[in-house]
Amino acid sequence: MALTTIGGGDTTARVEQLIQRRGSEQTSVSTIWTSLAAAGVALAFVAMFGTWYEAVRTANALYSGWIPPIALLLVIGAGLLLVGKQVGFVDRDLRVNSDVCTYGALIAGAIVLMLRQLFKGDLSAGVFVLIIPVAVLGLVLARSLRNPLADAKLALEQVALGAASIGATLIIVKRLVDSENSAGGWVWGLLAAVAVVLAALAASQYLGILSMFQVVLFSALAMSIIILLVLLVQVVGDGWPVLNERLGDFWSGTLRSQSDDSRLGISQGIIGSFWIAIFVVLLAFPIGIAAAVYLEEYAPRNRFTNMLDIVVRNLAGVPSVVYGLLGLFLFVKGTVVTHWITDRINAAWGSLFQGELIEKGQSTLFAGGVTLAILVLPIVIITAAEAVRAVPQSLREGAFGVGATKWEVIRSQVLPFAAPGILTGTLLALARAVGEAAPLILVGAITGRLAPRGSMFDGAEQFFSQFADRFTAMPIVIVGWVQDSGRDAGFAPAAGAAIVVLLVFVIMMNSVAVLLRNYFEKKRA
Amino acid sequence: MTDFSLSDVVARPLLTTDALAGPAKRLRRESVIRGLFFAAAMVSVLISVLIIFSLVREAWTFIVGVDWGVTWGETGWFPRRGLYDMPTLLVASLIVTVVAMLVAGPLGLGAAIYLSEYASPRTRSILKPVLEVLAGVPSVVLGFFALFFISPNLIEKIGRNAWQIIGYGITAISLAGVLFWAVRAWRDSSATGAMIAKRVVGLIVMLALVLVLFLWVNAIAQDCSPVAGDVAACPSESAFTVKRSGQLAAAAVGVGILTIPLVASVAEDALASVPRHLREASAGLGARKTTTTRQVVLPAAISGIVAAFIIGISRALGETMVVFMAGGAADAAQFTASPFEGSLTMTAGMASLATGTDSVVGEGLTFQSLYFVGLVLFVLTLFLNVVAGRFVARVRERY
Repeated sequence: MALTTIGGGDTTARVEQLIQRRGSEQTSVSTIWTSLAAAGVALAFVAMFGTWYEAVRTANALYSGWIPPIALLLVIGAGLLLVGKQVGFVDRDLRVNSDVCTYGALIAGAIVLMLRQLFKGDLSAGVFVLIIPVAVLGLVLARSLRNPLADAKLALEQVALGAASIGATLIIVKRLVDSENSAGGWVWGLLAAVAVVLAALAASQYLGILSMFQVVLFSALAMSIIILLVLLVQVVGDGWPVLNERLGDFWSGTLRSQSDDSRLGISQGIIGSFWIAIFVVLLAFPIGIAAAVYLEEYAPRNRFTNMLDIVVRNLAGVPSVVYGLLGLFLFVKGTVVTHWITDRINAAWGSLFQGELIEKGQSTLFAGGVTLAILVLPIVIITAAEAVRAVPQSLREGAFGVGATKWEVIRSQVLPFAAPGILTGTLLALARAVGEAAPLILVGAITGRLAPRGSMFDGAEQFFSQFADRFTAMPIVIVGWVQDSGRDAGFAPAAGAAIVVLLVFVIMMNSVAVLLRNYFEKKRA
Repeated sequence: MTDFSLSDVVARPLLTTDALAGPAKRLRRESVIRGLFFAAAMVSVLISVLIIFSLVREAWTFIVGVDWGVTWGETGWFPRRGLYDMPTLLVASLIVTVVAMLVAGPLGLGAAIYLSEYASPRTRSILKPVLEVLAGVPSVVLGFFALFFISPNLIEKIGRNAWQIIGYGITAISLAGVLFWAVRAWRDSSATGAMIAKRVVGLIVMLALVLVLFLWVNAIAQDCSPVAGDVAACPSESAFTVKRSGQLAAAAVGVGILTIPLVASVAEDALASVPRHLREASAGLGARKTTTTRQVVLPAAISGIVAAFIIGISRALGETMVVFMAGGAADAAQFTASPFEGSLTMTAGMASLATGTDSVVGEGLTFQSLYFVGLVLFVLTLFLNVVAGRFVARVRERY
């Protein structure tokens, strides 16, 4: 007993308190520096990305070498470390402080980009970019001078590494300036590799990690994140001309056969994706949540329930094209049952309006929507079941105790408690459905031109007939334009712009879902 | 009143279980709702049955009707001309899966280990959501990225300069090794004068060796350079014939990027399920963090890590849009076993059949071939998923 009091909670708590206090003291000292440096870095990033877009836009040659991507990676890597330190994810209280290296890599990267601009004769952009790194450099020097470095050996290390990484970068720049395509041009490849190795060394020092294993692990994670950043930058850069010049027209325009058509746009894709999302919300969500509630609350623990569980899990792993095949089989080719249903619907339609609603063998918005609802159903079931499983048993027992029936317990206790989890799952599923293209292609969404039709607000006939009409969706528009870019290069920026629009929706839904989940996890923990 | 039996009491109680059950209407509602929920759960069974039914039915028409000679050993996959060469699709799928796993395996596993073993809670809370955002990126976006970025900037360069890249790569790795060794030696404060002298000499020798290697590679590379070189002296002018704008390898890297978050999340779950006391015991024996991770945690979680790889393979096999957009082949494909050429995987083959003309129903068995390929893909992925499920279950049972 005595042992527990001495060695247990008390001491640990005190140590943690001490550690925390130490951290907070340091934070308060460097708050001003932190915010200034963070602001400077943010500005530098904006400026550099801006320059990079310009480079991509103005000349393709600029974009063809190894150098811009590598310089960008250096800058992004260094920036990540820097921002990481400022927001505190890297431990402040490190034995080794190698600000010089990181800032050095950052600035070297910036200088590379700047020199590119200068040598293209774009002086103003170069000077603009130059101002910020110089300002940051000033801050850094001031800061590192204030920093009492106890160990001269470490100081030497920092200077050597910083100088080496800057030197390597300068060599690359020189090669670059000398000749763009001379023999052995890819010697830079090695030099760049050296620069990267040096940057990795600097980074490992900075993070206070000396084991090679850990460096490798961290770079795996960092690579994934850098890929994501490069992807975003690339897509935004490609779509920038369209987004910048004619976003309004692009939003309301339609599919065209020429990329320079001023009426080229994504309105049909947006409408299609919107209705598909509605189908998913109306079909997959209620059925999925109900199935999850059945599996978790009602189902007896027997072999049949086990099988049901396995079926759902395996459905979630079925490739999305296979769902497309199912949709094609059910709705487009048609079976006896679907033909019968189609005939009934057409008869009913004929008595209300004229003609036939559904033409057999034609892909319809309805078919696409239902196919995607089927596709995301297992995801909804699995996430909702997890949320329902997390509801504490005591809640249910309390409700049963005051005489509630099973359904009343579910409605008043289980579902409200599980709501955030279910919402997260449904949002993720919706994002998946909106971004999914393969099943729609199989079902027969239109990649080429789509005849414009009347507004869906022109009365009931118009409204309902759109579900039985040919359709397209955002991802399909993108695929179509990417394919068209082979014959008409102007479609590539259009596809980039459409991707930006799609990504804004999808990433928004995803991040709301993730944030929601984290918030409730924290709140309940 | 002498023979007071139990049945008398039970027959006239004040409160029966029926009375407690409440009004019949309420009970009816309960059973109706239960029925509805059960029906909802059965929808997924219905879907599974429909998937298998549609695949088997159409594929059966193909299996019965096709001349099996055109499904093996033909020049390529030309469904509209009646040539259904399966090796074309299977080899392309294999290439894409292998290359994708070369990307996703190490990166996903590395990220998982770092997040699970090394990252502080705060780091985790920042980096994990970023991975989740990557998981949510639609595959058409990766297709675009693979076609317009990975293909020209990575794959075309690698394909043309493969020998040089290997040479310079070896040089760079040796240099990195020497530098890491040097840093470690430099940090060793316990070194005596003699040791330091030895190390300095060692460093000079190693650097000299790296320099020789560099010069040698450089000499070969200079000769091989397409601009100034003596082409005959090279292994070949260009290491591989590289198709422009879209190759299997570019698509595969895109698929790999899509698969990273999946591999990472399954592997991380496996690592998280390794009980804490194993790590503590290892640390108590004096093992370093690295040793603990490599020799205790990883072996304990190996089933889950294998499962992560298998699930990744299954996902890569089933990925359609990236290969369709960046795989470098439309409508039809010649047989190729080179990742630097364009071809169609099983999935991309299906997608390309469905686009182009308005109807999939072409000559003869074109439509049915779609379902035959779909069935093969379905069986493969189902098998992989079931195997992965077994591995995951094994981790759960153990801890």
